[in-house]
Amino acid sequence: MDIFSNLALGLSVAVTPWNILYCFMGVTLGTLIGILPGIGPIATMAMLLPATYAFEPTSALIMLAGIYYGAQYGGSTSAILLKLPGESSAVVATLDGYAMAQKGKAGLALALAAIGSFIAGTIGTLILAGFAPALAKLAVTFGAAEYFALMVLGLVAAIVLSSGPLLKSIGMLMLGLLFGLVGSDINSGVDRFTFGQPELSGGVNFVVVALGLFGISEILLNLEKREERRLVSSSLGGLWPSWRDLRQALPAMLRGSGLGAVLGILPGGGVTMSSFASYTLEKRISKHPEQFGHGAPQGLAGPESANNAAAQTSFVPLLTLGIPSNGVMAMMMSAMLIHNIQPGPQIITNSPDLFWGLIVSMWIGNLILVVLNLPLIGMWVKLLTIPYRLLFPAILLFCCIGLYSVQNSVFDVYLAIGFAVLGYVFIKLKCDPVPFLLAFILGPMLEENFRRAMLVARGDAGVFLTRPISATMLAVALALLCFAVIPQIRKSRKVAFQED
Amino acid sequence: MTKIMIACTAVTLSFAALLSSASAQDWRPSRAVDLIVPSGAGGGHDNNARILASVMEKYAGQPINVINQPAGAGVVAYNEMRNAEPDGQTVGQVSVSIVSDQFRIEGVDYNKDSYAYIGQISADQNVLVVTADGPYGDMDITQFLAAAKDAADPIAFGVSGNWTNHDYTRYQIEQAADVSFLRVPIKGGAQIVLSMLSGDVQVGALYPSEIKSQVDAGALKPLAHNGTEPLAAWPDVPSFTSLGLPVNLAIWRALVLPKETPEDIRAGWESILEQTMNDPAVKEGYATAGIGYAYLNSTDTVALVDEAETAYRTISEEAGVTREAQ
Repeated sequence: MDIFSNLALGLSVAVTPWNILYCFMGVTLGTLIGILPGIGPIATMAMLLPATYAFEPTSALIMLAGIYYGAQYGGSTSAILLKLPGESSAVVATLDGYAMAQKGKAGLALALAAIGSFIAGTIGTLILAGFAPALAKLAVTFGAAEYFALMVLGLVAAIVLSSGPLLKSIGMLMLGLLFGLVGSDINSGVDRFTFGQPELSGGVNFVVVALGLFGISEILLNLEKREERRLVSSSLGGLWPSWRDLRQALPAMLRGSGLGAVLGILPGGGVTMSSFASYTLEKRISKHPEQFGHGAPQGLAGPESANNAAAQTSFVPLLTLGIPSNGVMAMMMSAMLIHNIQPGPQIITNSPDLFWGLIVSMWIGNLILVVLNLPLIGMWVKLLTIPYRLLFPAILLFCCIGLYSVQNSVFDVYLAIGFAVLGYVFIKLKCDPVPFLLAFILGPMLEENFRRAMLVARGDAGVFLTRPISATMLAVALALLCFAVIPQIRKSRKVAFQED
Repeated sequence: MTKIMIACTAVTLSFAALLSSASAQDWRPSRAVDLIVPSGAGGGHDNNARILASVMEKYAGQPINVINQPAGAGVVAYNEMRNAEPDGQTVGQVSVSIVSDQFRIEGVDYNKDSYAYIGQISADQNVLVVTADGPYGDMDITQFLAAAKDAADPIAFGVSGNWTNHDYTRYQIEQAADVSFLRVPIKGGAQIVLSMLSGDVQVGALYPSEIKSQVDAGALKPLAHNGTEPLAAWPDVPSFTSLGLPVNLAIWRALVLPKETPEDIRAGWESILEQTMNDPAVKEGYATAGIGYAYLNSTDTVALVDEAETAYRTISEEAGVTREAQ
């Protein structure tokens, strides 16, 4: 079998002591920067890139890739424990993950996230090894019309995964779309809602909104409570998941991995979409959708697996087409070029040891992450036993450092304070900020792809329905919306304001 | 005796002259330097800065920190470079947008006279590419332009935003060949390549580094470029100028200091940059990252900037680019 000989070749490259060491360094560093909010993998990779000149090219790439998926991993730790999503893929972990931590199941939540990520990493590696060249074809069949339909699906998912009443969710969604409009319009170049501030013409950064709306407003809320507050009850809960927990979460992990692996290939926002899509799927098929948002293990395990699998397969466009689909992949491409490797369709035939070595190293990296992190869970959870009066200034400080470092600008710190106040108001009004944040992320892509599709179709809106992939996704979106709306309408007829 | 005296004096004098010229020439930063880059980490601007900084540290005698300030499409960074303390501890890396921004972005009040130029550090061409298996895949540039002229429906041309460098190049092609394209704004070169592969747009004008893997794989075909020298990767591809078409807006980058920087500090940086650009490590680094090597000293850079401003002013007026609607 071809795939096995390829994996064997990869294994022989990836398990040399030096490569294991570089992989270890990468994932450890990645975990650390993932835990710190705001400091992303791109900046870290950029700083380390010159240092990799002296490395073997394969070792350099193994380390840089490790930083990326290590950061995905660390990002969920702070999202679960402190409600600080440093990356858009970690937003979903603040829903049921944080709820689990609040109920004293922080250890279980972290363990499920770790195991889910590892399973996803394994599946992602197998998919990459088996189908990378074939999957690359999928990436280029997606034009603007298909991306538009995907984003519509994402927005419907945002409504479905929200816990609040339908009308409030839609309201928050619209508000999120509005904030996504801030900045210079790509088609006409006109500045929208910038109020003459050049800092705003590039739009509002995700980290600013996420840390303000989720992290800092949560601190405001916690400080409001007068008694000496600890984030968790005195019992930390079992650190290890029981068989029952695992059996319950395993199907969600497998579904999440599959979904994430497919979406991750799409260069226009697939990785971001993967965790939302998985959450929606889990809530949709669950027999107890009402538990979602209140600590449902599937609501954490599925999305965590999905975003890890997507992070893995997001290497496909770079490795097989030579097209970097996001900033991280652009850094990977720079690293390859520095070592005289031209990423693209020829890479598998020209440097098979590098290609397969990198893929297998991702699986080894995931193994290191799970081995490294399961024992550390006890330590992370202890973080929550620190008295809150000592913990919150530290969280605030790290938030501010993270916010400043995104664009090296103090403006972003002030802006985040504004979003924190907004988030506080949302909580007081019992409005779920999740649809807001999702719409904020997806809105600009939705608009850009809609306008491009219309432009390319010379103004014919029929293009969304005549292209099969786009038509299918829009139909699924419509069906999901109906499923979400009909029970809510029935409920609201029976009891007005039944929720909350 | 007198001979010895004269010799001694001469030696002393020349030594003194050497010393004084050395002290005038040899201003060097006294602590770590900030190099401000008007874009995020990753991507061409940032790559360029990091390659340069790693070599320049040797000649500056101090570490050089690359500071990414992508806010406001570079406007924030350009303002910061202008308002920095003129003590030589803050250097800015600018692109040609430093002269074109004033014509297209509201609220921009910097222009070519707001900075002191240390020197040019790189230049890149835009290469006109079409998809190889698309309708124009087996045409040369003349046939393509003829087809574009005859097309009942304008051909879709991917540009990375309104009146960015891609877009000015598109405009120049339209004017020179008397054709018109459907301009489709798409964020960034990588996304334009994807849109070409998915069939949304048929043509683009991109940097060699952005298209190399797809050209090598036979998916994209380069037709012509807007440089003056042949392309390193594809020497057979003609330039527009060689075909008699004035499509020639070079895209360059340069290092700058705040306008008020004293003469000795400027001279110090000019010599640091000269030594850096003559170091083979820069050429090597550029070649692997696909960045076009081009170096001009301070005086020649000022001339380059003047020329660019005139060109962009003329085109902007001609094309009706306004600050309100960019």
